[in-house]
Amino acid sequence: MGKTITANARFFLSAGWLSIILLVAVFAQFIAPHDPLAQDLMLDKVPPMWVAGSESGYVLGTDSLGRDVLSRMIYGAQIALIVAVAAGSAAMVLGSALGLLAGFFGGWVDKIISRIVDIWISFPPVLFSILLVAVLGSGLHSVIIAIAIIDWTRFCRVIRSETMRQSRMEYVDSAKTLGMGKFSILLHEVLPNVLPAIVVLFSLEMGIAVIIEAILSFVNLSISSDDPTWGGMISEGRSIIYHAWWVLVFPMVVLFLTVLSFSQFGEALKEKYDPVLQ
Amino acid sequence: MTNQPLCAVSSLHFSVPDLNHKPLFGSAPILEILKNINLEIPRGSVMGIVGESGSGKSTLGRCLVRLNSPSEGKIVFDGKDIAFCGEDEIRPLRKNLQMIFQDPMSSLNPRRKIGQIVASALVACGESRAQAKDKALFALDHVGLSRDFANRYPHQLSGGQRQRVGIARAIALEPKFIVADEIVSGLDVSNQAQIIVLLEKLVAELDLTLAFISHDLSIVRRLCDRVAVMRAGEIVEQESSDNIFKNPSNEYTKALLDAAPLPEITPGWI
Amino acid sequence: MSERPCLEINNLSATVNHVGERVLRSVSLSVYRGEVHGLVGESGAGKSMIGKAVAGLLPRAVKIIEGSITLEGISLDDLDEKGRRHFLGETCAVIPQDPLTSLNPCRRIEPQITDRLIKTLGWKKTKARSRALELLEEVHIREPKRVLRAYPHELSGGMRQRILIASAFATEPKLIIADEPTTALDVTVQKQILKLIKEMEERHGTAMLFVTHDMGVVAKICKNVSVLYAGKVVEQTDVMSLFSGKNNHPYADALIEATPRYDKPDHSLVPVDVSINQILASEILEADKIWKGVGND
Repeated sequence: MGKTITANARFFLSAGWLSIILLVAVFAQFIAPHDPLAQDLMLDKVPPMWVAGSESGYVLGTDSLGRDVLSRMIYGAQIALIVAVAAGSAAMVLGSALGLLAGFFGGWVDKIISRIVDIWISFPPVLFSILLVAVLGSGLHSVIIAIAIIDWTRFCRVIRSETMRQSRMEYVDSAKTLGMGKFSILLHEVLPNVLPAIVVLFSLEMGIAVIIEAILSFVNLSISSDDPTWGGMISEGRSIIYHAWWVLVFPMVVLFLTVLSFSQFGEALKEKYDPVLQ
Repeated sequence: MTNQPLCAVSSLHFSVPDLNHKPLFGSAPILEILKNINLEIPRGSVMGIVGESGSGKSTLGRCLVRLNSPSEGKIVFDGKDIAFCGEDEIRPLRKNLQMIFQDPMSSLNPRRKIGQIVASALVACGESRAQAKDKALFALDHVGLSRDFANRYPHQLSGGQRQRVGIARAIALEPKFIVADEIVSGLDVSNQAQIIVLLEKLVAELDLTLAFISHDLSIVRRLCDRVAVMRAGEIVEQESSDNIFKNPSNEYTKALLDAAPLPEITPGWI
Repeated sequence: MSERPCLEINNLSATVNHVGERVLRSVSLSVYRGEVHGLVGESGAGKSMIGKAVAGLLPRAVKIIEGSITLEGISLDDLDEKGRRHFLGETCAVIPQDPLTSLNPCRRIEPQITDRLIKTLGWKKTKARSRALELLEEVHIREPKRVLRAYPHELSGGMRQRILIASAFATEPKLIIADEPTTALDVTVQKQILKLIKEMEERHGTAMLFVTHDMGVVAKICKNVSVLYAGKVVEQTDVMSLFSGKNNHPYADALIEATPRYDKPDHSLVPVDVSINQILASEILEADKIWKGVGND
């Protein structure tokens, strides 16, 4: 009984938060009280509304250029979600496909793919992303490609391992005795059993993508324009933390909750819908 | 033509590289799992393949349905040597060469419903979906599982029930030959008895040829007309069931019989 | 028997998490010194669970709600957690089922035998080591010195089981719980191990609870037997009476009848059928009714 309550809580809380972020991102134009790019140097570093010295209309305060923190966070959600879904999907597709092939076919297919993964992983991710951005130019598309290119190996390793485990099961042998072709077996027998792992990892990956984007923003390697990102806000906020803590803290909290929700959501989905766990 | 055994194996060898003893430079030594196997399974008979662990009986079973390809030798099934055929040549024969596996937990796709598992086997062998569904339900019925089992998942069934599904999947294809690899080994005595009785019934009704792999001599005695005793990759004795159990000639066979604990008091057994 | 039993279980009942059906239903049995008492039943019957309850190895979810376990005259309830563990460590040992997973693959054999002697009995390392060598010789392992230094994966299943048997007898326990010790072994190895167990048990005079699902094994090694179904003892008698086929609970007879025999191939293999299940079901119902009546007072 207790287990279902926690399972349900996990599902609804994470889905709830993610829905809020989604709605906020979609309806940013209508929700945001101010233009996120509008500067007003007369109103710089205004504290949030419950602190003395605040200005009405700036619920969470302003940053060092007088831009409304809340509005910037709202628009930042757009970037965060786009990156999460796009980069997460790209990493998932690439990593899972190679992982499935390596795990199922073994032999030289596995050897080649595993060597690639090993070499890939040994590149330091930050240097790698700097290189990529230098080559691809800064911008949202570069960020998404960079994240997918850096992180697909995570998928590949886990999915390869899970695929290997499933491939050893006798139901695969059973399918072979029916004369099913190898690709057919991989697609129809093995993949459905590896899918729960993919779903959980995808959800986790979305969270990771958001964090990597934040890191890239932090080091100014992310999008080139003034469009607000949570990572960028954290970066700006860091230098003025003693004067205006709110510029750092609020985006950090939102980032944390969003990433946590992504990771929990995947687990919760698996618990709720995997037939084996019913 | 009908005097020909359905399945005849001659000079079969199966070896794998022993990766546990591979030297740093050079190739791994060869581990021989099956050595010079000669076996004949007459049409309509139940052949017992008996051995302890490491005897190679499971590997032999897998070779018989060409899940593994041997290193050397012949496997003549229904007049055709299938030992080294490509998958394309074997595919049309697969319907007739079925296997039932030991572990009912891992031999059924856990994320598929029972009905789907049996029906998809039929579809894979060329049946139309509608026909497949009917035949699947009929097969499940034949093994004593009612219609509502078709909508359940494997983990919702007991071990004995799962094993019946394995049997249903095999017989649904109406094969000529079935290899049953230790299919009652993990079951309770009452489930085991039920499955044995079911198999006897099916063999009679469906005119099947069965290769029954087991380590349990008593079950083999019950089910099989002929028995091959295996040890360390070789067949040490191959006889009719009566002869082997009444007059075993091989020392190892005698040791196996002697070691099997019968449910009766025999002081001095140990 | 004027002497008191080594192990006495009285009315033991247990549930999972205090809810629903009992997994052990008022089990009572006694085992005397030098006796091998069989616990036989199918999976889920609770036979392993009784052994675990005595050895203090029940999973956390299973709670004993009634009854007592008395070992060598001392009731386990009278001891606190620490005292119980210490007492059981000295007095009771387990021969586990799976020789593959019961030995730590990362450690050599010697510490796996001597740990207990050093920690529980406080022996010095040298004394423990020579005892370990003695034990390996007792279980007929040739080259015991080499085996002590070996890792589990270097040894065969039969050898590992011998080592586990040796370990169990190391502390000279008064009671040994053998939990399906031969189920995972080949039949020829099983015979050797059964012979060894009997030999050790006779030599050390240990009382033994022997858990098995195989009626054949019961016939060869046990003196008395309790037949279990759904946590309830449905038949309790000596083996001679059990296999004579007279006056037994029909379930016990059915289990024997359902065991195939190579010397009687035409003997009708009657699976445990519907009528017996009905008898069992009504007995369980009756037992639960009586028990609930008592509990509700």
